[in-house]
Amino acid sequence: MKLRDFVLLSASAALLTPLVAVAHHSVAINFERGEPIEIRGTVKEVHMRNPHSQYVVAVPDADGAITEWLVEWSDRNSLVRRGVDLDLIKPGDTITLALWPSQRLPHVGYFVQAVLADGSIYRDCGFVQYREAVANSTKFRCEEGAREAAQGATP
Amino acid sequence: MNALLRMSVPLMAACAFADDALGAGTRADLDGVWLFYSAQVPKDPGLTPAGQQKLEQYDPLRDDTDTVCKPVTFTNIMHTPSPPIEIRQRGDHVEINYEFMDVHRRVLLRGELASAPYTVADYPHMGRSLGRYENEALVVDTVDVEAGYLDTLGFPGLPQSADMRTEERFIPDGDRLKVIVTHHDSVYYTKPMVMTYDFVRVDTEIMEWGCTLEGANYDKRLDAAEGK
Repeated sequence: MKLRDFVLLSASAALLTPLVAVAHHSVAINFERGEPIEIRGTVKEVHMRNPHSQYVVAVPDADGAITEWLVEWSDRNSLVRRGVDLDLIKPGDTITLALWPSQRLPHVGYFVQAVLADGSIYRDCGFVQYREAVANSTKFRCEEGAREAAQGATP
Repeated sequence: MNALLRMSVPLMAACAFADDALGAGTRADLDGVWLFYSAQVPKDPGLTPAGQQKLEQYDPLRDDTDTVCKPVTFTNIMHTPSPPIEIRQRGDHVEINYEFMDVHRRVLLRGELASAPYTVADYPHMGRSLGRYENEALVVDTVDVEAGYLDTLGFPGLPQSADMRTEERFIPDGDRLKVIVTHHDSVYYTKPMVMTYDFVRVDTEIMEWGCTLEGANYDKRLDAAEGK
């Protein structure tokens, strides 16, 4: 089978019979992947593991009451392949997170971006960008993932 | 029309990409590490009444054994996007190592299917397999699987009986791999049920997955909050 046939067959089939992705543990199903919400708090737990990494973040409200948020991220192995520093966020760090909120429950979200303890910003490129780089035989560069220095900070 | 145009642009790009086509694949192309690219799942799997009933009974909290570190099926593993699979041809057998849940499969190329050893020594429920080559393709037949659910991710709740026979056809084409999986199970399906997966070669090594109950059942907090 020629590569052209492979691509055409795959593309055609994908258009005709889209992948049914309605799994219980599917990111697409569990999280609203639109405009992210923002939380700010102190990291209590860090679990960089498979099949999903997790943070527990203590978020105070205006009255000082604390709510624990569960933040999901990609599987550990996938983060390693994307060159993500697994020590990016540590227990005790005070950070601001942009999250896709859970469609089912409050105080649960999926990692989109973090303003880290030093004020720098970290955005994730995600698996799809990695996969496309592999498919196109191009070097994977997560430019979005590069930490942006905090505004006004000394380089 | 705009929608059609929007769809045709990536198709045209894909065709342009395909112009750099490699020749037809060879058996040697199979060796390597492969990353999931896409999958095609039938809209209508052709369920029998018993199959439809079993699908309706599917409860992901109870029936998705991934959440207790028990891999569901090879069909299900291949729907898991990011962990790659490794194929190594060893003369009288083929090793297929799935990063997801550290599933290390051994497919003999000689012998009888019914008496073949379990294809994953640690997981007898995944059945017995025997492989053969048809031209450039590796064809693997599998029987003696545990009755339950075939898929919890691509088409959650598709059932399988203990009588199911599965044929996996691994078709290499340079840095591309297509896997066509045909499930024969007259208990739950009125016709062969086919799923197709496309993979791309990736320059990486299989890593340890290290499944833990805490990590695997990451919906636990969600489920607890729902009172389940």
